[in-house]
Amino acid sequence: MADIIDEIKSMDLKTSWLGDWEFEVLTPKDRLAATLSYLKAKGFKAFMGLSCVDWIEEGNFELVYILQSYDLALEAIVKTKIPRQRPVIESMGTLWKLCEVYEREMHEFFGIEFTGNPNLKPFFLENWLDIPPLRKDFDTLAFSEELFEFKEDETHGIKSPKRIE
Amino acid sequence: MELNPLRESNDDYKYYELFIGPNHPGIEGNFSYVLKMKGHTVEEATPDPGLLHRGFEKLMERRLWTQNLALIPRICVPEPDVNEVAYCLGVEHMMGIEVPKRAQYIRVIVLELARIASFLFGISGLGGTTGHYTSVQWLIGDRDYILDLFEWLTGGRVYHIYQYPGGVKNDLPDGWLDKLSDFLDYLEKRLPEYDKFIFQNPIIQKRTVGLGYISPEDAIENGLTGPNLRASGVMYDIRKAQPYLVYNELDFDIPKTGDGDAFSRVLQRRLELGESIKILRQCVKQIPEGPHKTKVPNPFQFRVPKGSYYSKVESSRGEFGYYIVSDGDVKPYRVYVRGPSYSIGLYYATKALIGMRIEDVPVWIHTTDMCPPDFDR
Repeated sequence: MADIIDEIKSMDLKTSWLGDWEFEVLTPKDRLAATLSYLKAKGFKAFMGLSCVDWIEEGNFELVYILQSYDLALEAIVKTKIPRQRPVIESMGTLWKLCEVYEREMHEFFGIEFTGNPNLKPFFLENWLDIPPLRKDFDTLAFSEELFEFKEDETHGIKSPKRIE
Repeated sequence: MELNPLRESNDDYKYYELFIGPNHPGIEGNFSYVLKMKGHTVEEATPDPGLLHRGFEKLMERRLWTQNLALIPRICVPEPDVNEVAYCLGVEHMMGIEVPKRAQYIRVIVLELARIASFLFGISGLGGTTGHYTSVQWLIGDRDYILDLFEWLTGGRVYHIYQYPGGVKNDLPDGWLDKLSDFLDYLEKRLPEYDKFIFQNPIIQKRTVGLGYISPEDAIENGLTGPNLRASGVMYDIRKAQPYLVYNELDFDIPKTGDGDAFSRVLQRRLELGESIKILRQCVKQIPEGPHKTKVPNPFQFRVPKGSYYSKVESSRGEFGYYIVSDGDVKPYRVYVRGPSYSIGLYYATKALIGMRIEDVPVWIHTTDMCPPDFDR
């Protein structure tokens, strides 16, 4: 366990323990593929998930890759930041084909382009025309006010939403 | 007499598209597959989610840390407690809250009861797809006793909203543990009957043995977890490997079936159900006296320190994970939910269903016990 941490540190990457069974690795965008394939070779063979955090104030998207090693009983959380203005990153479909499905979801909800991913078609949402909805600047209230008409209920004094035809 | 020449010459007539949608009895939940068929055989399978999308991850960012506890059980309908516990474990880890021993035991009891309920629900689904409706009625009937216990404990039958950072909301009612023991006695008597009429049933065996084999390498590569992974021979259980709550004080085994086909996936669930009963019996004996919660800040001052953490719980379907990010505010900055059915429902099914006959598709779907709400969240 400690060997991997030392080795990652010697690769000039920041790493720290988050809990008893998991550690995080912070890697620059251009070294992401190398870091992930290194961890995969070290036993982190299972790809558990891909998430994204919108750090709107510093202007970055943070991609979070969650890997699992069944032999070491450890989880590796690999994080990389990409600029919010031009969110483009290489697809990790060559390492895990499964990753392409998660990338499709992140493309839909955050608008991130994954180069090399053949299928980035809409997935969960249908006929979505607004900005990607999980971005921090997407205002759910403004969205529903625009889409629905709020009509005063005179008998009870309650505002009830009504769909615009 | 000549055959219609179109049938032989035109490729368009060889294939047809079949929509297995949310109303189809062979699919689990509000989810659909679009199958490209040639005769009886599946040529291509495309998952079509989105029928159940409610945007939980966005909604959680707009609510207080503790308000979210009323929202997240909805992410997995048949087994809602794993969401609450995984979320609470993450929040407690980030805040450094120590949970009293009694509360941890109560959490294990709730988790294992939910696990049994979910297994009963899952195994009964197989009966529905093979035309073996007795198993549906019996198993769902037995699951109802668990819902009665939950109703007494929490006030809710399906969604319990019982966990809270720092413990559980209420202590166990008087006599609840005796009632639980009675139920376990009853269930243990029923298990040999299940074995006889489900697992020794020639029709069920004929439909499931050898169907949809998954090798251990495939299972790891495709992100399978829980009973589906263990049925393929990879004996990994978070409760053993990375014990949380009080699982390290409890004695239980991980049953090994290891054939990797549809039958062994259901058998794995049946055997793990037996282990859950064993865990519950120990909990009833070992549960200590003491407080059931610790003091935490009031909901409006409830702030989680800056940072991130990935907490996970072994659910009846596999690893249920919550990646929680906080910026020190009264609301979460971002919560990502890793549902255990994601990889199998949206990715692995597109490979596994190819070449399968149409009547086997619902059987395969039900033996993987996928739960669409946890990926279409």
